[in-house]
Amino acid sequence: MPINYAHIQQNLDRFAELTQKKRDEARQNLIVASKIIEEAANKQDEVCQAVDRAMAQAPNLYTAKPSHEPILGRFPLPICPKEYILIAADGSQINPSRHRALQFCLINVGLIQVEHGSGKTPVQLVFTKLLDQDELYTSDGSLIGEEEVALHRDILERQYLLDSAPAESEFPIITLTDGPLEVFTGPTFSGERRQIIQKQSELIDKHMRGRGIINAGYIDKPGAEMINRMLDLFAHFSRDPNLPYEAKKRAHVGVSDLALFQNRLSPGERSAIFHIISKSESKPSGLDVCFFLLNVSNDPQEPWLARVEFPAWMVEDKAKVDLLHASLYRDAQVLDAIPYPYLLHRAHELALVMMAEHDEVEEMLMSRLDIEQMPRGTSSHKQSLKSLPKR
Amino acid sequence: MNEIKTIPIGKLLRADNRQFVAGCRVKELDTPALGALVKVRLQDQSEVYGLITRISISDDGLVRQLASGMSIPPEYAADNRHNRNLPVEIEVLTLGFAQDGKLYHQLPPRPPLSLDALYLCDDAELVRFTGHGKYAYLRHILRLQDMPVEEILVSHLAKARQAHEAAGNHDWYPQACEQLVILLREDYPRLTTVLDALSAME
Repeated sequence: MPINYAHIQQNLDRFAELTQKKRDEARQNLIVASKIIEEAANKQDEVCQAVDRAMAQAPNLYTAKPSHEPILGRFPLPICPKEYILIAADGSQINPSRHRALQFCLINVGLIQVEHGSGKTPVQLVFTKLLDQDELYTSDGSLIGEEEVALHRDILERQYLLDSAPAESEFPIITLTDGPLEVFTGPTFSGERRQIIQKQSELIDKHMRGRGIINAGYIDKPGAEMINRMLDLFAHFSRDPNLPYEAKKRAHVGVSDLALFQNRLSPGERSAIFHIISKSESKPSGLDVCFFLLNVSNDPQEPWLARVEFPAWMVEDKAKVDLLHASLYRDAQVLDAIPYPYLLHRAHELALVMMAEHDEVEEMLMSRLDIEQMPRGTSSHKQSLKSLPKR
Repeated sequence: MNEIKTIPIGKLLRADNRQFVAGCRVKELDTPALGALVKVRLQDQSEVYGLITRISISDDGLVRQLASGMSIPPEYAADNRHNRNLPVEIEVLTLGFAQDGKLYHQLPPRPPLSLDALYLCDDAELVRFTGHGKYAYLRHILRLQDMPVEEILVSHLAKARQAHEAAGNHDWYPQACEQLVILLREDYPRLTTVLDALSAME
């Protein structure tokens, strides 16, 4: 059955009305938040103290904290060096499904490395990992979920980036992934499997740091409200430093970091660096991560902000921050009409697993089981009916 | 049957008896040229000969974005040329075939199949194919529609003339021109254009 367009038609007016209401609220909240950020910029120490207070009280917190740079600082585009190595990785996956005849999970990571200034063709690689049976099931015997597969994928991206980075290079190395740098973002799992992933993540970060590799995550069109939440904390504790922190009482919701900064940064400029405070009872404490917002547009009338995350150990290293700033802007400008890092898009192209490939891999695996005279398994009736040819 | 010693320049995408299209990567593009003689060996060991009539380069959304961009680092231009899966298409006009060691300037009984390898003919093979019979293959070229026939002819005749003269046959080219005059005697405007193009080659 097609969509009932008549029902949608009947709701169009209501949808437009509610959208307008929501946008008006957000606009109003943005005006207030913009005033608060101006005030906060003059009381940076108090902002830090407010965040620290909340950290001490709250079991769960996701906010920003100012770094050594002034909150409303604007940092112009540094000169991009001619020679540096940029490596981007992206992953895609086939999630296991109990409805398919065979339960398997595949992670595909596309990686592309360019030596800027060399004139050489970039090197592209695809790594495909079939998860082992013991990785496919949880300790209680159920199939792993999409979040856990995503976690495996993110760790593999970072591992392959580390493995692919030249052991010795006279030029700086930047590695880039799409999305937050911290792998534990969504709801996660507990126990031994969590510890293994956590250790692996820490080890990768340690090696990256040891080799001076700039490790960055790029978030296009960021929707997070980390800075706005920081402003809420500042406003809350400014009223009375002894007030208890209440996570659910937020004054000005719906103001993204993007909205707060998009008219404050000219093309090529970045914001100040902020620390990410990500504290959760259900998540392990992960890497210390920082970010800045970068206007990757070249049109002063059409700003386009991205959030760039990087490990906190880089904060004091101005040369590295400048290189990350300049190289990402340069890479995004390659596709200047739709600014987004070229190399990250190419990694995505390499990684993408299509449905036809999904079916092909499943057939390969089942053919191998046939040789061993193992039963092929059967699709669920639901899946069989869904797979029937469509009109 | 000669053993093919050269490296294939592409693989067949689609074909019929009169023409075929092969795909190649940009790094393989330095060998084929407009008007060059090429061949495909079929499974029954017969060979289909043809002339390159068009070389086209495909695009996609990313290439179009890059083309409108202000500056592309040379490394990214190379990435698009060498890494991305956008084949160069080589269109070939069928001129004849070889079967059981004999050459024919006629259309082959069967077209080549997809993914058959396309080879560039060397000078010896160019001399052998074009020197066979009485230039009957030229009629296939003159039948081309919506193609720069004069340019293709000039390019082909220049290559063939050079190969024949290097082999000591200085009569081949004047006789080819005479044959063209005979074939185009009913089409004076076209004959004039072809002769103008050939004279520009001198």
